[in-house]
Amino acid sequence: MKITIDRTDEGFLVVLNGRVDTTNYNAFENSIAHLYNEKGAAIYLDCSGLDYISSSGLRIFLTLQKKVKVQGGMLKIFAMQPQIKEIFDISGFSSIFSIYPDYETAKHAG
Amino acid sequence: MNRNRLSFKIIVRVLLFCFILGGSIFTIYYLFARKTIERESRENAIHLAESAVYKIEEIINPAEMIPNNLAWIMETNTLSRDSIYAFLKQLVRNNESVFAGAIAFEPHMFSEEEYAFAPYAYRSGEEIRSRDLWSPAYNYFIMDWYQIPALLKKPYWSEPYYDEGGGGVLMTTYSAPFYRNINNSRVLAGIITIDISLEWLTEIVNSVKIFDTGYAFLISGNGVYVTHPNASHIMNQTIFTYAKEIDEPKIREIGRDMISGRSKFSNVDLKEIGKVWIYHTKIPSSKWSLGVVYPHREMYAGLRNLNIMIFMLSTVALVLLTIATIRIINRQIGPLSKFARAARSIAGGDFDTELSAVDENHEMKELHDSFRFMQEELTKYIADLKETTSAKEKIESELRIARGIQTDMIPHIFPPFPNLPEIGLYASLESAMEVGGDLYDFFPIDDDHLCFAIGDVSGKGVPASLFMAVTITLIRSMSDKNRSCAQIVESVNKTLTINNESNMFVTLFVGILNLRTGELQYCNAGHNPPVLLNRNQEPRMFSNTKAIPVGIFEVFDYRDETVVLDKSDQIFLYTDGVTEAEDADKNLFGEAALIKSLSENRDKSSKELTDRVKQSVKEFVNGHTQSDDITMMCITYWGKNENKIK
Amino acid sequence: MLGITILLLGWNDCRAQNEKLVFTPHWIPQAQFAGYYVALDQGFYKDEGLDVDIVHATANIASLDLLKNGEADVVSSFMLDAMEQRAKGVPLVNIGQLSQHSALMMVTKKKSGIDTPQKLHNKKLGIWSSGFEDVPLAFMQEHGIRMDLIRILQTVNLFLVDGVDALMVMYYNEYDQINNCGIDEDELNTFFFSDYNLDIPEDGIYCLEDSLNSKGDAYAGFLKATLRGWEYASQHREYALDLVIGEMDRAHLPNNRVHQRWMLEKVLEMMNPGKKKVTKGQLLKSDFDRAMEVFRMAKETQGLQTFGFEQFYQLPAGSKK
Repeated sequence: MKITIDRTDEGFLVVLNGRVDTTNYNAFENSIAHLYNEKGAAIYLDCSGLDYISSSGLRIFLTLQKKVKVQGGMLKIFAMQPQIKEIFDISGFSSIFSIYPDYETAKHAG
Repeated sequence: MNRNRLSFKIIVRVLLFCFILGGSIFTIYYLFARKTIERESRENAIHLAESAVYKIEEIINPAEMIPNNLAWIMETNTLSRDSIYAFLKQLVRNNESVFAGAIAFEPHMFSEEEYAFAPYAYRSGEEIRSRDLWSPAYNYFIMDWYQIPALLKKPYWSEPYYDEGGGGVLMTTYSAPFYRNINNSRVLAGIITIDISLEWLTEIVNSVKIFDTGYAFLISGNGVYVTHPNASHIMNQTIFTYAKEIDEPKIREIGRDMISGRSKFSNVDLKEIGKVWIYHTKIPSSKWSLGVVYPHREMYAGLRNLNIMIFMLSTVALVLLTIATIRIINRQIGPLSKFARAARSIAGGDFDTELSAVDENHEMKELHDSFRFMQEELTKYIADLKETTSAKEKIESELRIARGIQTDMIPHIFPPFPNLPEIGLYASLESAMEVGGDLYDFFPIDDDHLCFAIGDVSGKGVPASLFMAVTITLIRSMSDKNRSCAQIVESVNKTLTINNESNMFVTLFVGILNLRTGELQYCNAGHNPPVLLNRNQEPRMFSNTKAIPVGIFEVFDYRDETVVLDKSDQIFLYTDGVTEAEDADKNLFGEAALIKSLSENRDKSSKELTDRVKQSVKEFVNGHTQSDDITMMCITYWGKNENKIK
Repeated sequence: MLGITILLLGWNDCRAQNEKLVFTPHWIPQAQFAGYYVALDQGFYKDEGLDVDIVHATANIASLDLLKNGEADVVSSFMLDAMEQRAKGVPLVNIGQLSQHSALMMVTKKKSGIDTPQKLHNKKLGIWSSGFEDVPLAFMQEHGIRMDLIRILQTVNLFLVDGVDALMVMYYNEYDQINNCGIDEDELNTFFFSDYNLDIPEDGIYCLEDSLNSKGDAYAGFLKATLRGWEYASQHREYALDLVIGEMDRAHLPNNRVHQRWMLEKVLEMMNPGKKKVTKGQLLKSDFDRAMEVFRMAKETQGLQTFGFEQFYQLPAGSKK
């Protein structure tokens, strides 16, 4: 699982590559944990390289969402692969997260 | 066994080394000794030869002077016949080494009337006699002693000969020409000779002692043996006929060297006495040559004896060395075998084996100390391992107990309601680990309502199992005949969300089936949509829910939904462990495969259908490790009147 | 009386059995005369009823002289010498020709550069005082050269010390002597007279004509036994050499086997006719003619007798031709 986190004009761009499952969800959380403390940050999550996510991974997404909200920022997820979108749909998470088809749309959304 | 092999190896190597070293030293010594002997022998040979030559010259040189002096006298004086005779007699008398002397005149040189005149004085017993050599029968002009110096105009030492008159004594004659001034030109007047016996010469040469078989010999200008230990050679053989006789061309070469006056060392094989050195040098005055013969056998005899002695001593030394080495080695490496035995018993588990103490040898002490250290470390390590293992066993046994508890939480008696012919129900749950996060439950609320639920706690293992236990307990406690599915779900959600720092969530599907009407009320909180199997239609999946799993937001608006089941309809519920079952290539089983498997097996009893689906998943997975809990539940609704085998 | 008569008669018969002959070889004892020694030792002369005494010539007295004055009954001699004596009136005849070839030759040292007859011109040639100058004189005439003839008594030493440029030697004797004094064969140039059409036979057996006529049988027997002796010697060379060494030792002459062996070998070679069409032991007329030629070239023949082949060479009666 590869993660890159860059600062952009808009905020943070987090790019995910690979899988998040029970073997590496801890490492995944460690990588993004510092974002929990960013005040008022706009965090863009690029999931174009995300192949699979388990419930442990979903939990971390949740935690991130909650923490970001507490800090007054926002979490925007975009470019999900179809099978990942389906998981979010099935679990109803689609209604919790702000999900966009691509980066541009995510940037311009309110 | 090992000890013997090691000491044997060491001994062989040490001995080999000694042998090679000894051999090299010996060879060097031997070569050096040989060289030294050779050099000394050469010097000795040269010395012997030169001193013999010196002694010979001591006698020859004065003898040579006589004719030379006489020649001068003859040139400057004219003597009468009688005076010449007297003069010659005196000459012979005064010189011990001279046997005879003569003055031979050229034709008509002494007097016009006489053709030839050659006064000659000689020893005869005690007396000195004289006579005239010349007679028609004795034409001295064509004899070597006269002819050669006359023609060559220089002194001449004759070849050796036996003197007939003097009793067979070996003699040689030295001749020197003398001249006269006639008409202002120097003319040959005649030849002066002295005869010398060669006995003294033989004595000098024969007295040269070289070991037992070595000897010196003398050859004339023609190579004739003048002296030789083998008397039959003297005067009979030349060195050249001897070379032909023994068929040794080298001797001929030596002979040629000798008569040309060279001094040289030669190596040759003389049949009688074997390999020899011959050193030869010339006698300056007469141009004869002296040879000394050095037999190798005797030359190296001393060396040979020394070698034998050294060889015997070396053998004894090597044997002693072998014995000493064996004992020393055995003493030194004795502890090694004791260590080997100790190592074996330690390996066998006896960590307290006593190690024999070692004091002397530093390397052995090091080995001993290392062994002791290893022994101690091993003991410690084993103790640690035992502790860890028992701790691990403790946890494992607790997990097993937890598994048992968890299994007991879930209803697992099938068929569950023999007295409820309206439904057939079967469920199966397989955790990925000892304990898991999947749950299912079913229980009748009242005579007409069956409540069932299926859920999936996020994650797996002990954390998920704890949450699962809480959830399943909450469902039971929150459900009664007054609450709808949505209300049940809401209550469970509220309780779970409080004090949920870890953000664990549970996807949950709760349903209440009216057994009389077939109406199913349900609420799906983020769980995989179940599949409805109808006799006449293709399996249909419930639509995806909009509701989120429980445990996230404390307040969420959960809604009920309803669907009516026909008789013999089946509902198949599952967790994502089924659809997301992975094979070795990380391919997922998928919803399509699930639908397909269900479609092939509808009309089967709940149990059989479930088992079949389980089998398809198993086949798909093909032995790959189970990554998530796999839970399935199948409910068949028969309706009020039907009574079929479940 | 009768007994004595018979005894005397018997004694006379005994005496008549073995004819006494004195044989003189023409030089001192050496392998040159091995055949005679063998014939004597093997009893071949006895087989012919002969009692032969071998008395050698010396440096002072030639075998032909002993023949002349009757001290020897039969002698060996160099053919040209015998021809000279015959020409001077000594009535001798050749009854057997042992040597069929000439062993005479000249040697020069290679380092002198004299390797052709022309180069011998005006050079010094050492020759024996006892004669043998006929052949070289003929050689000089036939090649148009002249040489200083230096008489030497007996040794090769003058040649060895370069006192003369060339030396007359016998192939079977002095040639080997030179080699035995350390001069290698490849250090010498050789002039074999036999190569220059001067292949004149040498050693032969001679007796007085009268003796031949009166004692023909004895001489026939002598010749036969002698030839047998030489044949035997050629088959048993080491034995022959033993006899030769014995003779030389008795005469107190220095000797060694190596040189005598060479001499025996070459003398036996000379006895083989080779290309000449003549029986062993007989004289070839053409050889005789050529010898006469040489003789006339070399010697002043005025006042000397002439004689023909048949007069010179006569086989003893009773000998096979």
